[in-house]
Amino acid sequence: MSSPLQAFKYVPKDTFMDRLDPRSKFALSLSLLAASLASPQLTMQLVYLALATLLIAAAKRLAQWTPTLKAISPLVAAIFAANLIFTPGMPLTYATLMALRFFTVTTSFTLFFLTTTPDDLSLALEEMGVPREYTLMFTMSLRFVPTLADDVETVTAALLSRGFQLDRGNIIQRAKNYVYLLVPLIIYEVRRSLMIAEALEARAFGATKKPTRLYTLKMKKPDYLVLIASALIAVSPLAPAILNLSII
Amino acid sequence: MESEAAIQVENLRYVYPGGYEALKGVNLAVKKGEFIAIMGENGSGKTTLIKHFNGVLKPTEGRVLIDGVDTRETPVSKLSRKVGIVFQNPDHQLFSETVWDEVAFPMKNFGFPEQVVKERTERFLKLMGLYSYRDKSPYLLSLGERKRLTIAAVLAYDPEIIVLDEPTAGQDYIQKEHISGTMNLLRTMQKTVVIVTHDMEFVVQYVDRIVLMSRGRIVASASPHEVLLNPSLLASAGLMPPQLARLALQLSRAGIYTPRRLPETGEIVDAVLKRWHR
Repeated sequence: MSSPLQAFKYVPKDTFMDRLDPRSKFALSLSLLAASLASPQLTMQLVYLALATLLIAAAKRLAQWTPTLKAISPLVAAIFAANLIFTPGMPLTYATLMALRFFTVTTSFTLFFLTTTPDDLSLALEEMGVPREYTLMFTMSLRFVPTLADDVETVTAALLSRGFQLDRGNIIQRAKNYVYLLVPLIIYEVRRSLMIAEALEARAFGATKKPTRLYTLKMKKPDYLVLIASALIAVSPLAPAILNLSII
Repeated sequence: MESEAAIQVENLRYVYPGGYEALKGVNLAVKKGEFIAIMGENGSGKTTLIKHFNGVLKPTEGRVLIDGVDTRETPVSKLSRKVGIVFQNPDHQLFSETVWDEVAFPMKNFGFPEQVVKERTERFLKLMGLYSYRDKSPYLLSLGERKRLTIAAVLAYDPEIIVLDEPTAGQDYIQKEHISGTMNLLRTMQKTVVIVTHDMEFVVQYVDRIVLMSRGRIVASASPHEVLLNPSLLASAGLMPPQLARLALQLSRAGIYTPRRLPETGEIVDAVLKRWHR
């Protein structure tokens, strides 16, 4: 249950990608995404996918990325099948294109989340003018994904320990069984968020409109290089037309 | 042939999915009718160990036998009929709309007859001092009350082996008395009981044996007197001897009193007075 979520879990490592400013990393992921969406050629999709994979390899996170790949594979297969069936004309090329595109999009965003700490992420968002309430909400929701997964396990264990069988009965009965899982979970999470709210207030959250920062973001030389590279990637879908290449 | 041990743990190793090795080869046998305490610092593997007793966790290596039955081959819902576990946090185990339903819930799952469910629910709510709250939502109770409610819910369905994780945490003196009364009852009923606790006084009163854990291993398994009068052993498991033991040991260093077992307050007073009048 936790393995597909691993895509969003930051594990600290000291690589080129980790040292980049989150904003330039975001630009890089976004440009890969935009290029993949804009480009109608299979070759270009392969180039973007290879680039994103190379960057993940450079960040030494291939092992973390593979579970995500496995998790999305059925979805990709479904996308491929649907396009194969419903596309008029050249369905095979188009279906492959769509499947590759989905891989590229997820990979480029996995790249961003795997190499950016939630703290960096919220700093970047704040620099972009997002109010602190929202950036904090965002960091905390990421922070609580594993905690929630733990809670689900604990509550399931407690239910089983009282002789309850979650997979008992027909489909409707099974769906009802999950209410027993949801009730303690919701109550527990609501309680937890109230406690967090109190803790935040106790530490004077919101006391000033514009709080100072312990850490501030600063763009360095590699960041500017990455920004230039991102711009190039973003316009790259135009390349085949300009260079007059006839590729599929 | 029926095996003597209610719980038999053999070379148990458990690694959490994240890769953390919580148990590094644990061997333990709990006899039928025995009353034991598992003690040790936070993170020593106590809770991970007891979660193996009803199969909620399955061994990575080694095996756990409950009444001779391997937990890897039996579903949790079946093992739970034999092994009742009261987990540490009551909020994770309250599922019902009313306090009454909460206690009746497992009995219904195990298919007890209506009349028996009614009788036992009433009896155990009264035992835990919660009968007057029977129509309230479990979530409106205080933490201590919720804890007692989860204890009532497990005791009511009468499992042979009862496992309690921190039963006295958050209980005041009077409520602890309620729980103590229950411990005595369990003893009379000759149940096999395993409690995980930090409560030294509670341990001395009830248990036959203390199993001391540290960093995923069992470091000692002996009578409460042997364990609690051995400060270096306790320290190795990150625990401090109870006050009475510390006093006895200090008096023994001063040559006033030699404790062979954990003394009653009276014995110490007698020893001091004897010395005083000499």
